[in-house]
Amino acid sequence: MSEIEEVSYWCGGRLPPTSGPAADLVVLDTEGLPPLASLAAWVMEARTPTIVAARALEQGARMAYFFDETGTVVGRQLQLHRMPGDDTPDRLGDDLQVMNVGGHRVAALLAGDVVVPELGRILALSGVDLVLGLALPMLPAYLGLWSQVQQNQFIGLAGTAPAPSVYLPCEATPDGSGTLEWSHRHGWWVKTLDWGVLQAVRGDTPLLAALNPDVYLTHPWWSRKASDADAI
Amino acid sequence: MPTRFELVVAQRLLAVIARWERLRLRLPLRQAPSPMPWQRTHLTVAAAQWRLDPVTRFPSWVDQLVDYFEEAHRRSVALLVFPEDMAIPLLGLVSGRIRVTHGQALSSGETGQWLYALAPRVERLYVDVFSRLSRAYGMTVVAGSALTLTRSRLFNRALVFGPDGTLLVAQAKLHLLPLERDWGICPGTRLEEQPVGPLPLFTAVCHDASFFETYRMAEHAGAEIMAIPIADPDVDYQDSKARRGAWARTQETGLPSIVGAATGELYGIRLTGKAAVYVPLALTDDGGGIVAQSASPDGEGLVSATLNLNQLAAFRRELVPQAREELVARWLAPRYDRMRESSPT
Repeated sequence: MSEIEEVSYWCGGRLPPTSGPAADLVVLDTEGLPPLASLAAWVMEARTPTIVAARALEQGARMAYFFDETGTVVGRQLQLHRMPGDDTPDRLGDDLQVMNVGGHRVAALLAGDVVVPELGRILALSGVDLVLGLALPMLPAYLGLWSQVQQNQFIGLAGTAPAPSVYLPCEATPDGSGTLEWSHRHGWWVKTLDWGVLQAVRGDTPLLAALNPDVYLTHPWWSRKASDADAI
Repeated sequence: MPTRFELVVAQRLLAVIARWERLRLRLPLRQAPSPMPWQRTHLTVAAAQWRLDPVTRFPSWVDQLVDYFEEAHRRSVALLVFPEDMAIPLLGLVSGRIRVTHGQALSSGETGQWLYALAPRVERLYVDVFSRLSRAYGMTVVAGSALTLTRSRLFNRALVFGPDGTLLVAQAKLHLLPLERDWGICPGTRLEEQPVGPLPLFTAVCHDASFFETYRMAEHAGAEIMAIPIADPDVDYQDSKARRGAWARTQETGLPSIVGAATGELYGIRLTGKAAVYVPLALTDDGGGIVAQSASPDGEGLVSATLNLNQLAAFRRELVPQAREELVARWLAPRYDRMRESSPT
């Protein structure tokens, strides 16, 4: 399998009628989830690893399916947190999926999960290079996935909120904004991911090397209750 | 590299100068105002933007500090925050006599040797000045940070003085820039207890605010206000880069941040930044999350704002998302453990 260089991204409707532009990874951020059999058939035709997320609730949950290029479901990500003032979804996930695609570790954060910094850190420390923000609420600039990217040095890809965007560390974008913005139109977008520039930034300013786990572990802000096995 | 002889001569010279300046230190005789009953609904805070150019005349440096305190007093400020590395410019008191001179390019190793030898020598002078000014003006003051030696290791510590001039908190910087590591500075090994009188204040230093962990720990320890002294070695200030630190942490946690910012040029390193007071987006009229900010990332000034801590606490309680503890315990804690085990001792 080749490295992810091109990602094609569908946002704005149900299953697109065609497989779309050639790419190494396809992301479908849809209004709802078609039946799994239809999705599998669609992916088989596209012959590309595909991640499909539902912006609307499906069976009481917000979720994303990960398919390999044969149309087999290889993972599923549910939204993990309810946001204050929002009693949806009914059902939350208990698992954080990381997929290997083209030599890269890829994960998805759904809806309000994108503003929980612990999740971005968990993914970064799991070696994730690409995080997809799916089914996102509208957020102001510099929040959500942008902020996760800045404090974890991975690439972020979002179809919405506040606009379809690729996020990189500020040092990796020509204007220093940390955002390579796409157009606002719905439909297919294709984006080339520049892993070289990400590696250069990680080499020049290795942010995660400054983490101080000794201190965190002596001042945990989480419960000390026994935890389950490390699942990721 | 400086020779041992050069370092010893400079150390002794600086010690003499510092002692002399402490002896002749004259500060305003202003009586501290009667302590005002502290109100959660009206806490006025201020952040200083200050040029860290090397100090060559100590009385002028003190006079400038007095001007800031006077202005803060005029605005009824209860909490005043200065930038990171406030004490380092005092090494300028021996510049001209040693090779640590303004604008002279030194290697990281050379800079580290000079800092190790000299910086702790000015700490007492710096503490004296801020202690007296805090008492004179009856303010809680985050005096920025100073380099200090503890068991032969160099730390960058933020110092907080109470309205009676007492040193209340010394918090070492926990997350270092590569440049600081090159200088031989060590990261802090613990989060100090930070009981700042009635103020639920927590202080962390600059890059600490690039990591959400700092704010989470502070919040867990009871913080309701964050003071962040910064000195950003970035010649090319941009709002987007500035949004990666305290501003972002305020949006994640709902804790307001008071940022004292360094500018100027410190031994060849250009510093930019804006003094600011950040609150959650929803609590600002324009949705920008900034209630006070200096106009330029260069130069100097004082910005202030009045915070309503009751309103902020209610906002955090009702509208700030919290991570699910069981997920953090299950996934994040083992990763910190793994990092600790794999990091060089």
